[in-house]
Amino acid sequence: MQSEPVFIVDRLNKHFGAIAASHDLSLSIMPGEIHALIGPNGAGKSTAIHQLSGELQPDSGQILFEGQDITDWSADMRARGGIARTYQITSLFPEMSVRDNLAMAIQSRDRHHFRFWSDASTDKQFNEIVERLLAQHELSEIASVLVAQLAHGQQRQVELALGLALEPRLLLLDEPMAGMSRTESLEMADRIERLRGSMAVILVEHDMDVVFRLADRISVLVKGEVICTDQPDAVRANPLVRDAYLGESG
Amino acid sequence: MRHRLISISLFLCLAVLPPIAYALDDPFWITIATRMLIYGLAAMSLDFILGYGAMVSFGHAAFFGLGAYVVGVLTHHQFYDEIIPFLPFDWTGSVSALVQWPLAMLVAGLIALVIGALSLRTQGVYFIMITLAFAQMLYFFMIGLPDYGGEDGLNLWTRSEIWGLDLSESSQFYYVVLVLVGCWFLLSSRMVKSRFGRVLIGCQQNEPRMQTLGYPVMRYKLTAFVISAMGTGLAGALAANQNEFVSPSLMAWTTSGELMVMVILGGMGTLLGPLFGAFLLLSLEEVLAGWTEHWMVILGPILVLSVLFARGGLYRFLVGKRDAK
Repeated sequence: MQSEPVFIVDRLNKHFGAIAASHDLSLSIMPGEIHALIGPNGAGKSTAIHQLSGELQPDSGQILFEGQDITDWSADMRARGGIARTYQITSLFPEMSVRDNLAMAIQSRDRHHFRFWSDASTDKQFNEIVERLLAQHELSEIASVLVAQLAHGQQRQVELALGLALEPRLLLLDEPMAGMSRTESLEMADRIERLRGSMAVILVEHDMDVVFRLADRISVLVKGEVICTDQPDAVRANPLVRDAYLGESG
Repeated sequence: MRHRLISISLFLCLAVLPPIAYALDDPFWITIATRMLIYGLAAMSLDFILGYGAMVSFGHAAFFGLGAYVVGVLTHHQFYDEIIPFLPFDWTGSVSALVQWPLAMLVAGLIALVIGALSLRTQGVYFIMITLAFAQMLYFFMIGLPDYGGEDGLNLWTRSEIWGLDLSESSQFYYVVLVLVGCWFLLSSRMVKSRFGRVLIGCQQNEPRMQTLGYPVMRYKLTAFVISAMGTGLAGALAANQNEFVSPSLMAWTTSGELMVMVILGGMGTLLGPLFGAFLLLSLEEVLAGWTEHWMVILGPILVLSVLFARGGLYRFLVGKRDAK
């Protein structure tokens, strides 16, 4: 590799009682790469993502983003600093329209939220940015629909758009295809594919076809520990991985 | 658009109430309406955090009482020409409304800053309980202050003074209260539509997501909590004026409960609704108490039924479900 990693996770440990959800978990993510994080159920993938996004504090270990130690940063600081995430279980603003959901993300990037007087819905410049982003994510047609009334696949699409609206330099995708139909999954995979090179992506996903198609590199997580990080073909051939993971889940 | 129609017609009706009351030779109506407006102001302030930020404060009576006591203490010292003992400088208080009322809001806001900073770390039932606990603490603190009447409360002898007005005259006082309620309503409805308001609504719908979108959620909620307490403090200052009497019972948990009932009856997250809620609750109290001393037995079931069958509250009923936001 020619360049420096953008994101370094160094020996994270997280225990819940006697259970080690993360055990000396280390990762290094290169700029622009799609890095998949796979592992059997209960391997601690979601716990890992939560620690990377700042929603959960590790017991020990260090996280570096662009050379800066962000281990103690709260989730909102990390989001402002360039790390966005999406959720496995769709996490949106259900009683707002798709437009207002995106506006919420864009407003965060915009940083003028302690405005008490002017009507937010009449800010012309701001609204143009929202419309542009809606078009970019092919959401213009459903822009006025309440998110709660959308089909699951569309909600997943909004979920991704919300993360991207922050213009992150590192995007954490927690099972973006969860619950999607085959066609929807393929569309989502195309969307993620297009992100390659523009930002670093950590992808947690169960669908192995998608993982092996998208990932530049794969880290395999077993019992909270990364047992191997390599390119897809090497991971597929690795006997340790076969034992711990691929063999088990078929 | 029906929002605007209803709010304009409500304030118009309220504006012509005093002459009508005089014409009907029933000026007592003005006193009752003033009381409703004052409680409505407090309920509207509570709705700002309860209806838009999902912060169910069961301790707003504390801010109501604090606002009242600021007026009470300042008037008391002015009347006896005594120096206020707990201030670092010598001041014998004031009866000027322009001093008393902003100060009431300021004190309520500052205490809310402390209470909020501690309570907002919790959520749900815990938040309800901790705000209640703080309010009860202040309640017993005031009971334990014999200098200011303790449990018996404090007589004020006079209302606040504004140059050019005579607040002891009931219709003049009424109009001052009405203008303040109107201003607070305008201010609040601007705020809930502003960027700040959007963040608040976002927190109500999905607080964890707001955080991972980069919003320092705590700061927003605390700001809203303080603003809400300031409105309630102003209402307390007005209540002290109307009664010319303050007592710890203003801070009792039942007052917090009443404010909450007004918000729920009127419609959460509507601002104007809680004003209707205050009118409705206080009129029910007035009417039912005229029939029987066990009026609570009747009021209880009415509340239960309205929560079960008119879930959006009175205001949503007026506006029509589709328009309600």
